[in-house]
Amino acid sequence: MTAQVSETLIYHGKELMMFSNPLDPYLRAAGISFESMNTANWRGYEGTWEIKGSEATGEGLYLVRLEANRSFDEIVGLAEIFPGFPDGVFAHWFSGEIRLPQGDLLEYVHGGYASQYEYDLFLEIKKGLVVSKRAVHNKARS
Amino acid sequence: MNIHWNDWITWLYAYLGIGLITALTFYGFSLKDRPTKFVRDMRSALGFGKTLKDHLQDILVYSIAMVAICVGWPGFLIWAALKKREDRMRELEVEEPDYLCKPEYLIRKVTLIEAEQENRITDPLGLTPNLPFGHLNAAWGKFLAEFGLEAENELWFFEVPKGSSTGEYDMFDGPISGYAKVVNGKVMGEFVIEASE
Repeated sequence: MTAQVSETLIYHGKELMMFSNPLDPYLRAAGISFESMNTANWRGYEGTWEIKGSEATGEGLYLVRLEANRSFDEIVGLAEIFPGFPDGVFAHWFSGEIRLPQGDLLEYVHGGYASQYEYDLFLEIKKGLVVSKRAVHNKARS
Repeated sequence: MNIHWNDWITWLYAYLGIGLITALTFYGFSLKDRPTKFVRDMRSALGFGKTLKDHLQDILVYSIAMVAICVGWPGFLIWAALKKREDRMRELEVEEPDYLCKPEYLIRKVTLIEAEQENRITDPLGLTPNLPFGHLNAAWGKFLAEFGLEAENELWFFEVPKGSSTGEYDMFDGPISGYAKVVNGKVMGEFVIEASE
């Protein structure tokens, strides 16, 4: 399997690669699927996400931009999949850990999201809300 | 012609007669599964046609099978019935959706109203529609439409613990929860409200 193009997460104003696909459970539940245009993107879409909110209200994971291939010649965005939610869609269907690789590429792996970077920031999400964070310093595999 | 039912030879003929009918019936069914003339011609054209040896072998195999069925038809009928049942079970297994929810993950039985009440979304920015299950409300409606009104249909909340392996997921990194349609203890449908990738 070819290495997959990542999702993007805007976190504290920075655009980071995100090696997780929080939209997938929604698409499965809603019975939506997209066409893959190339082997580097089997899921057929690229989403941009953002952590929004504050400590007082809680921080949540929001889908803010989407580019998806409904067919080979039809590209749809957030407005088509979530009509009426131009400011973002709260990912309340997602629980799990999202991985945000940062720093230098230590090892390229030609498959999925398996490439290894210097640091991994993990955000634990529970029903769309950020519940914890942890960082891992990776070392090159010898 | 008088039939002497107290004569053992009459019973033997009757037995073999039923066997012959059984054998001919099954031979008829086997002809149905034969490749069509088109396929046979294509195979011949490609050099895969049957040789004289193959034909003789077929005749021998069919003859032995016919004699065996004539003699042991009760056993053959039992075997055929069991095989048909087994094939049907296998077909059903293939047709059955592979639900994430297994009976061991069922937590509690709920009503539709309870399910909707406990699934109001807490959105920090308040952008999510104020509907049960938020953006999944339409999918919930679809699940309800397929739920059916039969008295034996039950709605259960389920939770698959993180690290389990179920359905298409393998050692997934988050919990999966949702509602399952359960009929007589069997999961017949599911609506996932929370999952990782």
